[in-house]
Amino acid sequence: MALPLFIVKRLAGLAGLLLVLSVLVFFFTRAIPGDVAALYVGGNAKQEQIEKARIELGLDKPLYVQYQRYMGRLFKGDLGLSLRTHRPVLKDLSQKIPMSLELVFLALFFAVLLGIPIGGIAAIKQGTWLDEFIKWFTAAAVSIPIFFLALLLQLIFFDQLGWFPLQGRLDSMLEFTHPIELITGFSFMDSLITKNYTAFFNVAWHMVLPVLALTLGPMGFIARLTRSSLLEVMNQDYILAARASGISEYILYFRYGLRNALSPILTVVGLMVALLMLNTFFVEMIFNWPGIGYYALIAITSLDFPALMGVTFTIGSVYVLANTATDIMRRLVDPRIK
Amino acid sequence: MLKIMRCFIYILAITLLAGPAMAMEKNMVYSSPYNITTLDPSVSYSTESQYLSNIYENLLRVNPPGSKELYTYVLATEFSASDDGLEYTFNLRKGVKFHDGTPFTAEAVKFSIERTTKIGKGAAFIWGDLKEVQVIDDFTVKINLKSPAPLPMIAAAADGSYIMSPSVGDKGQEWFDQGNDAGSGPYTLKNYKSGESWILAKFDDYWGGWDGKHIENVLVKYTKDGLVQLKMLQSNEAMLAGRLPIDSYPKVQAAANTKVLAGPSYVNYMAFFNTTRSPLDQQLVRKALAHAIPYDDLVNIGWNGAATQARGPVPKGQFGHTQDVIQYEHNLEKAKKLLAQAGYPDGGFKLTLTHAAENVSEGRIAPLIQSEFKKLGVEVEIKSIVWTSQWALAKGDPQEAQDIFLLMWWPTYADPYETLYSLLHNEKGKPVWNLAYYVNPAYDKMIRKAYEMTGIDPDKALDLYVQAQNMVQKDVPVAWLVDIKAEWPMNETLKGMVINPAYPTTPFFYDMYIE
Repeated sequence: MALPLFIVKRLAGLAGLLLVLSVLVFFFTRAIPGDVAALYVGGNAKQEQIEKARIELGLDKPLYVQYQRYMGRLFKGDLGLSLRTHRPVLKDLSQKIPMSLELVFLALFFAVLLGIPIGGIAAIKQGTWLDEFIKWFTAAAVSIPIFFLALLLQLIFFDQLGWFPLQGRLDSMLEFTHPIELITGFSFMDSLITKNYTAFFNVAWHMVLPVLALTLGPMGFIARLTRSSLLEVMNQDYILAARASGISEYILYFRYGLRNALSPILTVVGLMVALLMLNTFFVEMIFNWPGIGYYALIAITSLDFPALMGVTFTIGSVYVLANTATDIMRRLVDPRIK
Repeated sequence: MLKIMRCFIYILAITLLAGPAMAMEKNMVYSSPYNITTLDPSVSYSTESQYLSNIYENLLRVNPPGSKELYTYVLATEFSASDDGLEYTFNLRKGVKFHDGTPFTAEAVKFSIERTTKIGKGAAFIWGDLKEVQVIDDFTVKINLKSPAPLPMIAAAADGSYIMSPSVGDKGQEWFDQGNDAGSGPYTLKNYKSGESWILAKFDDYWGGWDGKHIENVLVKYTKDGLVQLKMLQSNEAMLAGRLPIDSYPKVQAAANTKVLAGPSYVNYMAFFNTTRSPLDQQLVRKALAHAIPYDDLVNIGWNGAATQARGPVPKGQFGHTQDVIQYEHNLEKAKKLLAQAGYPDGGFKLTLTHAAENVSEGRIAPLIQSEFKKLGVEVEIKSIVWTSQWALAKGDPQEAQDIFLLMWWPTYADPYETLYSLLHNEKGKPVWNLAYYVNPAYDKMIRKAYEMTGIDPDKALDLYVQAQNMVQKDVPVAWLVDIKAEWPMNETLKGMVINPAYPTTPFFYDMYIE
């Protein structure tokens, strides 16, 4: 299949997936007992106000009509109003998504950058103490629950050592003196564009712990996969032939072996994006990071279903897009896939 | 040489460390779990009132109980009521400017009240008895009512009665929610990042002036997690926090750099009995159960002592709360006798109790009630569900609903009528807050009468309120559990904060300073 056709098919699949997701989330959230109109009004709501809000929000109509209306607005790019913040969900999301993507991309970058060489080294040193150590370390990294890891990092690096800040994106002092002007929503980029270098370095400093918490799991996973995938490839005949011709071991592993071993690793990278998005729920809560995970968590506890729909669409899209991107990369790396 | 070097390093270190600390003297960070749903002062009816009360002002402010005067005059300097309680005339403060530079006049009062009632959202219901607002001259305004109501209390409400600049004109909620404000208060809103942080910044032209000691800028850092708030407080990053994990209060109190300021609040907790279903439809059974609740244990375990046993629906310190209201003491013998009289000598029935899963205190007291009821042979099944679901289930068919409903409640303004009306008046088959599903027409009439008398004859009103409460207490549709204290964890150096139960969630930063 030609690449453009492949992309079109994938995007069509995305639309289908989002449609299914929309039905599931819409009807499931409505199945939970909860008076949405009363939540919208807030405080010690009065009966008349609740009834007024019910009509205003169209909640007096049957469910399928409500769904129809919702989808009708959705095609115009309108995700509705958040019941909790009373702001357009789209506006909330456009503010929160960049903050999370910043964490997710950095974590993914480091997970790949560190995971592949670590796995490669373990494969080369197979059976030695180093291999054993890496196996132990990566197993721990994969299996430690993310919220525990995040709290542990806080305990060590903030409470005990005081090397890194506890929470947030920026020092409180800097919120007064060097606030970041929101342009793209990516704090790194915004602080660079506005030449706010003080804020830039401060943001970087604040990112270390949350990114570290997010990175370890995927890194361990990628390292373990690289090791096993590489070992499998290294047993192939052509490697034996290359080895016989006297090529150095490192070139053998990293040039000939790794390229062939990369395909399954790239598949996993797509999955890792989804895992990372999910993990931001915990990491953002613990580090008080105002991203989409934090937003989603609050939306869930307050039954803010327009916001939940928005979050679902976002995460669903990111998942599909990430998988499509990895598939494209796999095709580029490995011409055998067609 | 080494000595000089060492000296130099010390000086350098001290300047580096003291630099930010000195700059922070008039600025502070507040780690707050309270989010903003809307910044529109006409619509707001949620946790953001604690910020809006620093940005906007009312005509009056209710003073904490025990103060010499009932009110502090804010934008009004004086008021008088007609004998029939239908006309209130307010003299207004001169020389006040809104943040946008517009001078404050009677037009602003008219504009604000009319805007709020016209939009009709949030706490606009407090103006239910309003007929019209008349501008007499630039600094005199007359408010006419359809029926008598305690108007000064309403004008001092924490929601729904903010005065805003008439320059707002036709601008809607969106304009405010972009981070704009139109208040006259000591602070103006800056750098608003929804769900993240915002700054309450000094308004230079504030009529109260900035002489003396005041906090000038407050960075509000929205922090939902109690543990994060605690750590921010302990590390001196935050001067003030909102709500910490319940067990950490003694630790914060004991630490050298932090303290807990406690004071009265009008927040109370109660247990509604489902009066529509057997066996709780029997008054004797309800009375027995009211005697079986271990009130002291609730106070000590549910709130670490920061509460007192409630005496009726009206919380301690509020108008309408007196020692004349009947209180049920914990007495298992009495409870057993009453149950026997009702025909349940060994209990032998089962009840379901629902409480909000996110409310830690409710989660702690539910098992205490359960184990005491067990001694009477009454089994209690505890259902811990998220608040939105707990409430939704209770608002359905009372025959299908819970037997006992735990609720936390606070009034919108410092008058008992709202509490007595909302929690116990006949909701005619459409329950909202009367989750005992209690019906008593005599009670309904009596509290309305008391409400109308409040402005004209407060003594008579009080008498009626007490009678009405005792009427309910004999019927026991609700067991009133505890009145809780407000607790603010803060840095040791933060001074001047006054806890005012009429504004239970509002820290008035203008009163505060760092020493």
